[in-house]
Amino acid sequence: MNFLVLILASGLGFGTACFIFATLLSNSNDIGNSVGSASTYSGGVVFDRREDKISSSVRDSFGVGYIRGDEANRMQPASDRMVVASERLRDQDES
Amino acid sequence: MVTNCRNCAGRLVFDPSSQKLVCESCGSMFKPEEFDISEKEELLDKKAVSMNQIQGTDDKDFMDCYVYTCASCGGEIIINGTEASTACIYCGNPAVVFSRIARHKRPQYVIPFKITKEEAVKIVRERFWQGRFIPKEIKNFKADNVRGIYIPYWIIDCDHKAAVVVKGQVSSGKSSRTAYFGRAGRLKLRDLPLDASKMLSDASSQRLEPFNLRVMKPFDEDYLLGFYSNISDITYGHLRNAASIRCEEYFNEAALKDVSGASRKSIYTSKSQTSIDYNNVRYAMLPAWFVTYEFKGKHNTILVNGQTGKIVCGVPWNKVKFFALLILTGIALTVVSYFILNPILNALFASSSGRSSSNSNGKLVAAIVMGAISLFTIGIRKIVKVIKSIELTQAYSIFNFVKKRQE
Repeated sequence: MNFLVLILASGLGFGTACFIFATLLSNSNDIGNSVGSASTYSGGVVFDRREDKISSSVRDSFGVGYIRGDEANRMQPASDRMVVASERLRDQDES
Repeated sequence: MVTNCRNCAGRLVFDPSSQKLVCESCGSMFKPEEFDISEKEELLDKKAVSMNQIQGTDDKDFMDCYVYTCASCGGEIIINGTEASTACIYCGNPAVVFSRIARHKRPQYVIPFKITKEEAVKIVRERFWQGRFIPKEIKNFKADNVRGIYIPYWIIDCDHKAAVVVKGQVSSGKSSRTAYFGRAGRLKLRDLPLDASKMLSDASSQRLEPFNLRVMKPFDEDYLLGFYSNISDITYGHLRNAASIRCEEYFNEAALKDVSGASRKSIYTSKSQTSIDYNNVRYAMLPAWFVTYEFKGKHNTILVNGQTGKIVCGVPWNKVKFFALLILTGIALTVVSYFILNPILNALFASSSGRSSSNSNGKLVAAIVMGAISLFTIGIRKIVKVIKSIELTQAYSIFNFVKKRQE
């Protein structure tokens, strides 16, 4: 019994120590690890469809029809073309 | 070289603290917009010429080498394929390669440096002194290089549509099972800055954010004086890819948060489409300080946002101190846990005779084991994240981005 308690106590003790010191290390040595968050650039995600606990058939087809690839391909500059600012893109297209 | 002092024809550099051009000889100050654009346009003809063209060779070693003539002393300045401003090695004059920011390549906006070189080093040093596990040698670091570089960014608006299936564990009675949740929705991102330099990794540049884009100024070459800068060298393919990755990250994060009543959630499948508004793509130069120092034979590059002063880096840690303290604390907490758990578990197991009691004892033991595993897992994940951050700071690519410039 005492051995089981010792095993559990050491797991809990070293686990807590690992958590505490990893947090301290992260605060001390990982500086500025945040990236720009979504809220900086948008009002958030608007969900149009929510389905919980879906079956395997729904799971595999979920989103079909919602995403239409042709919409994105319309009016896109070629992938290998160097990016230019919008006003110059219009100038180039017109010429 | 671009714009000389009107009083003494001395060298002018942009001073972040006064936000003016300052003459290094007589100290006169001028606003960048005071100088007529026609004075600069004369310099458009001074183009950077490929080293291979000069040598009449086709050597791959010269692929990214260009020669530019200093307008002040006539000296030859060697630059890479994307540099737009540098300093002359002979006379020290700030040099702006006008042909590279002319006409269709010209940025539309610039955020001038607000943090001076001295402030950047001071901010880093102060932050290092707060670090518990930062070695003393690093706290007293001597910077090998401190370079102010304007990084090219594309600022875009985009719409993202996605449908994801989230996988998670839901409890059902005494057991748990895997369940799937569908989420489909839209995300609009406005004024999203995307790094336009292939030489600088997106992982590094993203961490410099956020920039306050509301204070962007119309681009003027004079803001580049005294700083290094690069021009955009990415294609629409790169831009779409970078926008799509950012949108997916944000959408997936929101979808995982939106699913409630499940644990251990992850994205199972994802279909998405990102549309960029090509009518509103803006080209801007955003400021960053790159501070490099050497520690145990490795080059470390710290990034400092030139507008906000945000520091970005992973700092090598004092491993002996870290593990010694972790082990000592682990032993102390083990002793404390032993004295707490011993009477509780002994009492529980001694009194358990019926089946239901042994079940609850088993549950308690399982909960302690799960708790210990969770604490270890979270701790190890955090340490791995720190190590990855240090690797990014020591990456050769970022060191190269800073080093390969004229002194």
